[in-house]
Amino acid sequence: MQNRRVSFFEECLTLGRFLSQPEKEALYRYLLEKNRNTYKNQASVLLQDGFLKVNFANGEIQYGIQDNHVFYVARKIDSAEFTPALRQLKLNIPDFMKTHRLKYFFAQAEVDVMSNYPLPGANRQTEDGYGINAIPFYDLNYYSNGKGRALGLLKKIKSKDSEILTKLRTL
Amino acid sequence: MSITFPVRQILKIKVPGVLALAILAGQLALTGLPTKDHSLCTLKVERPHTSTYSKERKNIDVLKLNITSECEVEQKYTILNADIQAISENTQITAHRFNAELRTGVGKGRKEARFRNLLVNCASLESTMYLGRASGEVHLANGKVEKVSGDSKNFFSEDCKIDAK
Repeated sequence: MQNRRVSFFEECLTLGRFLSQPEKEALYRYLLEKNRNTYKNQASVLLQDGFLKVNFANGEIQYGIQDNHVFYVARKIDSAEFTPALRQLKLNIPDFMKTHRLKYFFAQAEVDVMSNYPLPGANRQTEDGYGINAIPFYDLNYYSNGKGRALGLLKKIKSKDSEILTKLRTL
Repeated sequence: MSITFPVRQILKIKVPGVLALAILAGQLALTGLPTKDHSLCTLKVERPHTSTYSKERKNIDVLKLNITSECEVEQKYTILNADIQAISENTQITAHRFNAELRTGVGKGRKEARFRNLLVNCASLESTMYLGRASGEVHLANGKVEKVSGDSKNFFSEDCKIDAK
């Protein structure tokens, strides 16, 4: 019997605070590709029920919709305390576009959670509060670091798929 | 012949009570009531240093910047824009600018937000002088927002050269 090799993605699930910014960005893109169908189903449940609970890495994510905005709160599995709702995204758009927008939100939330609540691994993790990149990957401002969406779009178009993304797809 | 000045009259200039009150009111209107004029939060920016932990665990040379925002009251979270300044070709340059980061308050009374994973890879082990810098805002639990900024004061040398971005 051949031993199954641990994928690079599985390794990333244990890195937590040691995930670099380029790794997080690549993971976001990878999750969007890999979980396209899962996210579509999740979006349909969330839009119908207004609530969705998902376990990811060592965290639990609870999504909600309020005043035409989607938000999420998260906690370490078996922990009592949730984070505040730090991210939210407008959903005041036609219904057929909502699923598309929610996919981005799900991928971002999962990257946030895996970098804060990783599965146990070789690296020492510290309890330093919940940390996220303030500008999400789905906002073009991320690519210009807050200097406008137009510049962000230009920079995004110029950027190529990183080596990390290739590694995630192949290993 | 000696002249006597009415000293008491010169020193005792009479100001009517109504006028005194008007002057005081005018002064208050201009300067406002005396307020407690100090910031509730401060930013502690440590000197950028090479991470021994990353070297030991991942065998990669990394420059690390640790920052803590400390408040006198409970904070919800802190958002920071941080960068690393370097001395290159006899001048100060921005060697690396981090993406804006957010951390929730932790510790006793949630008065601190700790930024401990601002990392940048070393391109080579050439010795270079660095200084850490950051600015941003603290969102307090009472809804108020405090602006904060700070730096690590002095340039220090580290055996790490990062590619200027």
